[in-house]
Amino acid sequence: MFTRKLLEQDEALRQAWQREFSKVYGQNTFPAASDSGLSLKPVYTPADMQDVPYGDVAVPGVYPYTRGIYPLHYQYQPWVNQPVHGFGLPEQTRQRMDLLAREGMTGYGGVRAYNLTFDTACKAGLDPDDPAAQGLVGYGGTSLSTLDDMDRLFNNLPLDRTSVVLNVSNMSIVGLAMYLAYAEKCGVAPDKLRGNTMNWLYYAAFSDFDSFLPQGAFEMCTELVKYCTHHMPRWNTTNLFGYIVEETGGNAVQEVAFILAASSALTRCCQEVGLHPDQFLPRFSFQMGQGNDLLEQVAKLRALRQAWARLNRERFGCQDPRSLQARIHVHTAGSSLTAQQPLNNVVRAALQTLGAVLGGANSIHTCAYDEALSLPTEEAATLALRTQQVIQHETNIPAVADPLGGSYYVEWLTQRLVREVFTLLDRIEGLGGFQGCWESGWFRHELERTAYETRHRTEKGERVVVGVNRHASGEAPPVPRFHTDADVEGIAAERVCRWRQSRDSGRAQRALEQLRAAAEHSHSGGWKGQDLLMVPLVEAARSGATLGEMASVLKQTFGWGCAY
Amino acid sequence: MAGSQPLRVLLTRAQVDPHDRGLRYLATRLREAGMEVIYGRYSRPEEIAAMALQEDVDAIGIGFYCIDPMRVAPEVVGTLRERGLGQVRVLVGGIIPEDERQALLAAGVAALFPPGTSAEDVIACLKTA
Repeated sequence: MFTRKLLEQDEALRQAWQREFSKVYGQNTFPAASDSGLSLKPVYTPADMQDVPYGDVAVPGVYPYTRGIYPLHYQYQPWVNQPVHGFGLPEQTRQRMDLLAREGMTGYGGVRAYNLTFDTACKAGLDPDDPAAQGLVGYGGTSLSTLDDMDRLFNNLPLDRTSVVLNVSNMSIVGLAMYLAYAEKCGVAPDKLRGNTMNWLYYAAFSDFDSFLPQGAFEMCTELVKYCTHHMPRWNTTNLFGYIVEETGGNAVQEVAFILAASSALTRCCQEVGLHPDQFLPRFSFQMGQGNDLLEQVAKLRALRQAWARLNRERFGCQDPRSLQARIHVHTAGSSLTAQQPLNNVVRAALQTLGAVLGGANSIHTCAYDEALSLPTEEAATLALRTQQVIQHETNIPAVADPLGGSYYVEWLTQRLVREVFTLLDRIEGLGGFQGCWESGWFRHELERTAYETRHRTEKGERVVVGVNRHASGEAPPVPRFHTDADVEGIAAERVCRWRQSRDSGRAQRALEQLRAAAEHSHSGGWKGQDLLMVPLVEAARSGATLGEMASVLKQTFGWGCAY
Repeated sequence: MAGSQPLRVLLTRAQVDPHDRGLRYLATRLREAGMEVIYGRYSRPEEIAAMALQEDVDAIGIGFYCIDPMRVAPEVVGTLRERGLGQVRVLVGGIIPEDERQALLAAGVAALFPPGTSAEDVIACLKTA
């Protein structure tokens, strides 16, 4: 992308640099590598990016969108501060929702937006009175098993003017059915609803926990996409969860390649049921991690945008620009937080948030500094929000789009990551694709290896973690801790028992039997049919079936456990 | 247990909890330190004692990440004692709320390893039976 004359000049100046270097440092070398293991030189010049086609990095808003998906970015649409929240009973989470909204948490276009997560019991498809839910209720999210619980979360919110993320992980399809039944009670039609299901049924490939088995998981993911494509045009169906790859130990290349493999697999399933990628890919979006290697993480977001555009245009024939524009939510890396000297986490989270902004994230969750100790206190959650607000309003970074574009180093690194990503993606396809690598445990094996290396380097002191293995002296002042109320489990269990007693049991049982029949038909090859599962699921929710009861039918039919 | 026999340790966490980075690392380190590690996930607390009995272990390490340790660990200690396995030590690691720590120790948990603990500390604890 440079003229021959400039490259000749660059060559001469690099020789001059080498002479100066040798005078001062002699034969010394200064080896360095990025967090994903790419060797780094001490300085980059135009020669390092001469292979980068200018069109790939020229302007934002134009294919392949390396520099951003919009012609203007934060000048017009600031990133959205979307802290994930949820704990205890739904009314307790509602208090946190209201607090964060009062403190300035808003969604796109000023719409109220809530990034909600449900507790470990919900994500495992268990009602709070299930013996297997012991210790899980109200932890890691809010407890929700009935439409009454939905009402405790959402009452008096205008659902057609509210955007909600429903993170029920494996139980995405059940959570959506319950939200649809609740919205119906509130008089809001499916096509008016906006928000996001995670559709994360694929993520046990990366993380060792019980889930739906791969074939059934993809059938249900496809059903959700298909239903929303036909009935919920404003709904974002699928979240491509790179963050879990990063958090389980993956590096930048693995994070992007693994999640593009997941997306490719789901795209093919949706094609099999008769959808064109341009019908549903505009409603896919990403959630990526933001680790400590600041510039590699910036390059990662830029590389992801380019790789997403190329993948969908070149391999899936997409024409609609919205299918090529990666919308990226960034979650700063929870795994980088330390319990020692916890206030240091304020600095880590701020730098990672800065990285997300320089990388052009569309929305951001900044970790609260106390997340290595507990769920965040109100004060810590508010400070995390303030971190974003300070960067947004005080640094002047939003004035110019993609401010690191054109940096020799960042452009070299971006291009290198794109290349590494496609190499790894092709390797995954050669190993049987996403489902094959899930079933063989290959993803897990790769991630365990990188996680082990990172941790081992930390334990040996080769990788510095301030306050843990360097500058660890001195007692840090104690910080306040959030605590989930001990009686949450009892209250939630009692509520769901009462709910079952007060509903029309016959109707609920009939709806669950219809769901079972539909699920069996779906799993025995009928999954390509129209609205096969969503309609009976919504009817089950409407008739008072609980989250655990619906989940139980799906688990029995689609298979539940560990795939490898 | 006989001095020449390697220590047998059950490392476990809830089947439904996706956080496993710390426990997996610990499993590898304990094996490298010559211990026999049984890695098993549980769906109910009582299964932990059953696994310990079946595998004849010397110690159990339970990892907690988004689950309440107080709702699980004391029950494990109690079940072990009921089954005559009171000598099997129960170690708890992960996110352990500060105000539960005394209660966990009082309930018979042998040691606590909150975030940032090094594998060396766990190994040292296991070796000084």
